Amino acid sequence: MHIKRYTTDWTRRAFLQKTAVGVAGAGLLKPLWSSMAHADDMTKAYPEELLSIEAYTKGAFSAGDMITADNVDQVAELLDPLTVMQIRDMGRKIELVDSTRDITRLFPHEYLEATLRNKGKAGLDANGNVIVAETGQPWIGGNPFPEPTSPEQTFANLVMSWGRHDDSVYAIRDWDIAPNGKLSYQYDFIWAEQNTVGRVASDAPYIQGEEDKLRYQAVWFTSPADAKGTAFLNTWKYDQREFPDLVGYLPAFKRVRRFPTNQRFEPLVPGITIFLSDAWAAGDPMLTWGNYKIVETKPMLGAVSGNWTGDVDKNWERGVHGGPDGQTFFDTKMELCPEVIVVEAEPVGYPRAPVSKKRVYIDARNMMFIGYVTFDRRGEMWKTFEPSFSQYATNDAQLLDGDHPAWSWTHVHSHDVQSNRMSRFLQAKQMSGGHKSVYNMGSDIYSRYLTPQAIRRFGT
Amino acid sequence: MTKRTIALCGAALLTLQQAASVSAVEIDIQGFIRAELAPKLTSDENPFNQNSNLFNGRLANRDSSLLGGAADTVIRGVPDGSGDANNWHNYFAMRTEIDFNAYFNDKWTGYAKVRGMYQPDTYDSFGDPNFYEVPFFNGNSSGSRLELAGSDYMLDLPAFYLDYADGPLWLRIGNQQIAWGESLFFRVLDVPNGLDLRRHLILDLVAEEFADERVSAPGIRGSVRAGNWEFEAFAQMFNPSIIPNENTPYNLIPSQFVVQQEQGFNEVKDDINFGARIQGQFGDLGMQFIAVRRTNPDGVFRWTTSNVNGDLPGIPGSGLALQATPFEVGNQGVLSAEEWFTYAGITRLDGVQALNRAIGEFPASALLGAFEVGDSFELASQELDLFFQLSGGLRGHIERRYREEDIFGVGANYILSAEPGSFLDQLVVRGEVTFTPDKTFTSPDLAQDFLVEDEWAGSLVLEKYHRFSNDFPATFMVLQYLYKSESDLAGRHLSGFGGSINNGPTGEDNFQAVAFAVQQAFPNLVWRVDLSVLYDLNGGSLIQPNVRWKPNNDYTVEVFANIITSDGGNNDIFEPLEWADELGIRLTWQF
Repeated sequence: MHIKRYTTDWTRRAFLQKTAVGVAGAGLLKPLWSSMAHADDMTKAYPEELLSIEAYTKGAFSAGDMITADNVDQVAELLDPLTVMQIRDMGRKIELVDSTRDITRLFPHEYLEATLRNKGKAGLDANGNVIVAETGQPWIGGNPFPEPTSPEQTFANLVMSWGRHDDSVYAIRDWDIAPNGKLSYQYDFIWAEQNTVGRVASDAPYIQGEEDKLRYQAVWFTSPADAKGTAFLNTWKYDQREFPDLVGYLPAFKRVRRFPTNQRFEPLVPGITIFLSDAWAAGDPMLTWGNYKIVETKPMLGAVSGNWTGDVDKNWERGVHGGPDGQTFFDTKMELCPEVIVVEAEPVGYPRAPVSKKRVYIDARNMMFIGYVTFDRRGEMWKTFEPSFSQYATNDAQLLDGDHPAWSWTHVHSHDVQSNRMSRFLQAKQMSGGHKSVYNMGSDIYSRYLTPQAIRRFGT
Repeated sequence: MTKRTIALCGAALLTLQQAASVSAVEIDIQGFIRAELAPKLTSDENPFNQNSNLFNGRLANRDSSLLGGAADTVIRGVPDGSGDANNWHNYFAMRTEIDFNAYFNDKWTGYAKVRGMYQPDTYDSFGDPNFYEVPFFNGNSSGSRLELAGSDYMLDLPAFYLDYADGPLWLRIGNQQIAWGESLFFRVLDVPNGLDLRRHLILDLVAEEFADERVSAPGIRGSVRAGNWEFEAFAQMFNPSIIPNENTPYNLIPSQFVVQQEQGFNEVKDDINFGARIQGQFGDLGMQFIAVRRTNPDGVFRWTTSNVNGDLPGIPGSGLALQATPFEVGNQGVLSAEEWFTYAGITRLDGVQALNRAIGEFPASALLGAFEVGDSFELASQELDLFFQLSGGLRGHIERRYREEDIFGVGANYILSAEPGSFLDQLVVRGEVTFTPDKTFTSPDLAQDFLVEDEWAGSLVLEKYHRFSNDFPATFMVLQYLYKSESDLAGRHLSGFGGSINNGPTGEDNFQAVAFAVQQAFPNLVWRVDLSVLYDLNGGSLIQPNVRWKPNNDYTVEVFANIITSDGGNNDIFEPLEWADELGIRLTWQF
C-alpha cells in the first residue's frame, strides 16, 4: 500500500502560501535549483503526487491514457479553461505521458549549464532591465532568475532568450482552420532569431558591439504565392522600455521599408491568428507591459515532452484530429508539470491594444511557458496560445544541436476562441525553398537571415 | 535577344549549373491564375483612339480664307467606317504568374517568375488592337528582352536571376526589377527602371504600387554591409518604358500621330545604366544617398519625317516633298485646326509652335507652300485648315529618342515618439529629394532640339498605423506630397500645360500633387477595404476605393473602382484620363 507523505491538500496549501508571499521559485519540498546543484533529480523538490499523473489523480489516469470529452472534468483543474473547452466541446484529445524527472530534458544543454553557472548573478536595474548585478552589464546567459522572487523576475526568464539557443532558424508550416473546421489558409514561413547577449554556446556572452541590443528576429513567408517574400525584421533593444526597430519587405513594393513597431496585435497575413505580440508569450519588450502579478501557482498539464515526431515523420509533421472536420488539433502529448506559475500582465505601453491583459502559465522547472491566454478589452478570454516542447530525441531518432540532443518547441495551437479560428503550426525539418530548422548555426545567421539586405534577397 | 543578353543569361545558367552540381537542387513552384476585368462606369471612350476621337461625328469649322482658301465644315468619321466605339469594358485579360524558387546551397539560390497574359479581342477598337507587341526586342515584337509577345498575348520572365550571398556580400545576377526609395507611387528615388504600361496602365490597385509595371532588365546588383552602412550598386541593361499601342484601351498618344520608336531605340539598346546607393540607420533616423547614370527610359519625342510618299489630292508629285516632312496624307490624321489645337492641349503641346517647328525644321514643307506663323494663333489655324482642306487629313509622325542623365538623390526616414497611443506616436516621416542636372524633356513644340533643364523632385511622406477600435486591426494611413520643378508625374514638361482649342499653352511653374491612402483590414484580414486618392493641386484626382476578400488560401476577389476627375484647363495630369472611370474586378486562384 502506497502511503502518501504529502496529500493533495498539503500541496494546494503549499502553493497558496507561495503565491501569497510572492515566492515563485521552483520546488515545494526544497528549492529545485539547489537540488540540481547537487545533481539530484526532481524527486527531492516535489512530492510524488506532483510528479505522477497516476498519483495525482489517484489512479484515474496514467501515462498513455487519453484525455477526452468523457473524462476531462476529472482533470479540468490541471488545464486552462479554454483547453477544457476544446476537449469538452470540440473533440480534442490529449495523450498523457510520464512527467519529466530529468531536468536536462527540459533545456538545451548549454542553456541549462549557463542557468546553473550564472544562478544568483542576475538583478533588475532601476529601469527594470535584467543585468548582471555585480557589474551592471547585460545578461550573460541562461535563465537569469531560476528562483524568481517577483513576477517581473519570473517573466524575465521568458524574455531574455526566446528559443534558448543563441541562434535559431525555424522552418514553420501553418494551417489555419475556419470555424467550420475546414482548412482555410496554409502558410509556410521561416522564423530566425539571434540573441546578441546572453549567449550560452558561444565563446563570449555578447556579440561584440551589439551589447545595446537583445536580439535580431526575422520572419518571412515562403508560401503561398501571394504571401511569398513578405518579410519583417525586428531589432530588439536591450532596454525593454523601447520598441524594436522594424523593417519589412512587401512584395508589392519590391523594397525594404521601415515600419512603425507598436502595432503588434495584428495578424501578419490573412486568416492567421498569430500576432507579433504572441511570440513566446513575450513578443513585446517586457517593460512595455506592466502590472505584472503572480495570480496562482499550481500543478498543470503541459506539453513539454514526447512531442517530437522525428522518428515517425521525416519532416517532423504530425497527426491531427478534432473539430468539425477532424483537423482542428494536432496530436499532442502532455505531462503533469508539478509547479506552474501563473503570471498576468497588462499592455500599459499600448493604450490602443485590443488586449486588456495576458495570462501566462510558466513551468517553474525550466521557466518556459506552457500556455498563454489573452483577454479582450471587455475582459473576455480571446485567444489561447498553447506551445508544445520536447527534447528532440526518441528511442529511434535524435537531432543534435551541437554535441547534445536538441530541445525546442515542436508545435503550437493559437486559437481565437471568439471567432473560433484556429492557427496551428509546427516546426518542420525543412520548408519550401530549402530552408531548414537549425540551431546554433553561428554568426552566419545574421548575414543570411537578419539584415535588411537578407529580407530584400528573400523578397520576390 | 541581344548578344549581351544571351551572354548574361548564359553566364547565369553556367553558374547555376556549377552550383547545382555540388548540391542537390530543390525547386519550389507556386503561382496563380487570375481573371482581370475593368467594366466601364460611363459611356466615355478613350479620345486618343480612332473610333473614339472627340471629333468623330462632330461638326468642325474650318477657315483658310485669309490664305486664299475658304471656310467650310467637316465631320470626322471613323476611317474604316466601322462606327464609334461602344465598349462596356476597358480591360479584360487572363493572367498567370508562376514562381520558381531554386535552392542550390546556402550561398546560391535562384528565382524565376513566368508571367503570361492573354487579352482576348473583346475591345471595340479601330482594327484589331495590338495589345502587346512593341518594336524593341526579339524581332521587333517584344517590350523586354525575356519576352515573347503577339497582338493578344505576352509571355515573359519579369524575374530570372541568381542570388549569391556570402557574409556581408550579396549579388543578384540576371533579369530583375530594382526598386529604390520609400515613397509610394511617387517615384522620386525609384529611378532605376521604367514602367510597362501595356496591361492596365497605372490603374491597377494603388496598394500594389508599380510591382507589375516596373520593367525588369538583365543586370547585376549587389551590396556590401559595413557596420550601419550598406553600399549598393547596379549595372543594368537599358530597357525603355513601354507605352500602350495606338487604338488600345489605354493608349496615351493620339492616334492621329504615328510614333516611330525603332530608330531611337536601336541607338541606345546596348546602353547600360549604372547606379549606387548608400544606406544607413542611426537610431530612429534612416538615411540613403543615390547616384544614377541612366538612359532615361521614358524617352523624349519630336517631329520626324514621315517617309511616306503619298500625294496631296490633286497635286501629283507632292508626296515626294511630303515624305520629307512630319506628315502623311491619311484620313486617320487630323482634319481641322480645331482638332489640332484640342489635341495639342490634351497632350500638353504647343499647337502653334509645333506647326512652326514642323515647317521650319523640315525644309521640304516650304516646297508645299507652308510657312512659319510666328506666334499667331489665327494664322496657324488658317494654315492648318488650308492643308487639312487640301489633304483630307494629315497624320503626324513623331519619333522617340532617349537621352542620358545623371540623378543624385537623398532620402531619410524618422519615426516619431510621443505619448503612447497618441496620433503622433510611431508616426513615420519620410522625405526624398533628387536633382537631375541637364535633364532632357520633350519640347512642347516637338522641336528637334529637346528642352534641357535642371530638375528637382521631392516628396514628403507621413505614414501611420493607428488603432481606432478594439474590434478592428489598425488602420494604415499615408499622406504624401510631391513636388517637381519642371515636369509632371508622367515627365511632360510643364511649359506645355494650359493650351486649348482657343489658345496655346500658358505653362505651369511647378507640379505638385498630394496622395492620401487609407487601408482598413477587418479581423483576421479576410476582408480589407482601401481608399486611395491622388490629387493634382491643379484640380484633378484619381480616387480608388477597393474591397478585397480572401476567404481562403485558394481564392481572392478584389473589386475596386477608378474614379478620375478633372476641372479642365489642360493643366492637370488626370484630364486626359477622365474618360476612364471604371470598375476593376480581379478573381484569383492560386496554387
